[in-house]
Amino acid sequence: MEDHIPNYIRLMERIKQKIEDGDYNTGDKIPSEREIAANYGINRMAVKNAVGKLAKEGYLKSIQGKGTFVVKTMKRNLETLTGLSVSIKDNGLVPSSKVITKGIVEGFTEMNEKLGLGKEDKLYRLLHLRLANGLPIALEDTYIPFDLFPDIEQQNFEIVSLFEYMENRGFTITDSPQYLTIEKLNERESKYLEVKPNKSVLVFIYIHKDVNGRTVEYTKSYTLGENTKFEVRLI
Amino acid sequence: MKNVTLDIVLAEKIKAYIATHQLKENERIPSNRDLAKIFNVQRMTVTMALNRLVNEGIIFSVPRKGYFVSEKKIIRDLVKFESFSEMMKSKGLKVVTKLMSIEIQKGDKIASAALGISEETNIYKIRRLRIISDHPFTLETSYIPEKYVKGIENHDLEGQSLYKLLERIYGIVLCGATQEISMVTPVKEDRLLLDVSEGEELLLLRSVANDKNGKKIEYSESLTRGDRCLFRNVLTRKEV
Repeated sequence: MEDHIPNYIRLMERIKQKIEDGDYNTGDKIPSEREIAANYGINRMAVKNAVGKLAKEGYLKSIQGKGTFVVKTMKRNLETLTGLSVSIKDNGLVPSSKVITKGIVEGFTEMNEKLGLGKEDKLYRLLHLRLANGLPIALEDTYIPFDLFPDIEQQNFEIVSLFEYMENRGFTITDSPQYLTIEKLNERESKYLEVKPNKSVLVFIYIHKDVNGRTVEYTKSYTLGENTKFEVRLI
Repeated sequence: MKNVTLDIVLAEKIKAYIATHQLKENERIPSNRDLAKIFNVQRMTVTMALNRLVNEGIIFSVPRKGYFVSEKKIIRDLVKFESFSEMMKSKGLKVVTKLMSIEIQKGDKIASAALGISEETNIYKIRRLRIISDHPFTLETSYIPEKYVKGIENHDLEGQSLYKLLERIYGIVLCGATQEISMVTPVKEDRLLLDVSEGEELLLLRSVANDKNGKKIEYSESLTRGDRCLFRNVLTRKEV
């Protein structure tokens, strides 16, 4: 019966096995379709088919002009507020961050309201791409009350984690309503995440409050959902 | 505006407009041209903002008719351990439950592993479709080892909560769970039951519920429409 299993399915299983065994890790580039076809002695259509299906299932990610990369599923615990970098490390991966936009925003009254601020208050916005082993996993759009963090402009959030910075400034984050849903990516965001526009992503929104009940952060995180599992324990 | 693009700001303004003008679900919002006038921006910016809102699920477009307010997403709280029916009842929502199938099986790798039992153990597989306001909301598949709930198929699984039934008939009180949320592409059968179009992704809530002794009783998979559901979790850090 083994003989009746199509080549592309065999190849899919082999690649999955390599990922499970740890031969392949997140960010590893797999050989080209031509090379795989030659290595396994199967035709390129079968390879294309297998790679396409694995990409759809979230095991692989093809980035135009760069190649196809391995992506391992990442677990993210909703109960730890320590931020994404720590989660990435907990998954045995190397976190990095690329700041896309940063600076003061004035007059965005609807956002001020979400943070419980007055109309005239200034916001600090940080739009940054989060990567694990060099692959984009989430795009985070963050708004922070500027008055609470007057030296925030001098920080380099590609090096310092936002969470640590806030704790160092004496803000102990305690309450955090979190929301999870699915949305479709807009063109701009899809470019940063190196995926197609209109792709569905897991949207993770959280509002961090400190022990004094002040909102210190509002973040909307567009997370590539095939590769992330959010965990929560209920009692 | 500096450091944020206009379409992002305008999208939030339109959301606020919908709220303050109390536009109802399925009601039409002002046209692109009118919005450009109201907010004194270019029509191109309005188009981009409307696209954002469509992607966000706030509005939907009907070709040649305009944009309409989408139904509000229903918040499903993760924080309290509660049955689905009780949770929705407390929000004043009417849930209709349809039993799709109930069978005893063994050999389901994922379910056996989640429950920490051998693949040779008989497990009840109960599939129920939850419908809220006449639209499918979630497809729930519960796996419970047969030995805990013998004869459960003889009870009403549509008119009462499964957890209440476990408590009342079998003396099993579920009081905790480990849960995991991810995004999946459904198989055709499930997609049709939930009435979503092809290629549409869904939220998957996987849960292992235990009784007060920590014994794993139920493993469930809730395939949920992301356009209808917002999972909410409210955290409080224990050590301060």
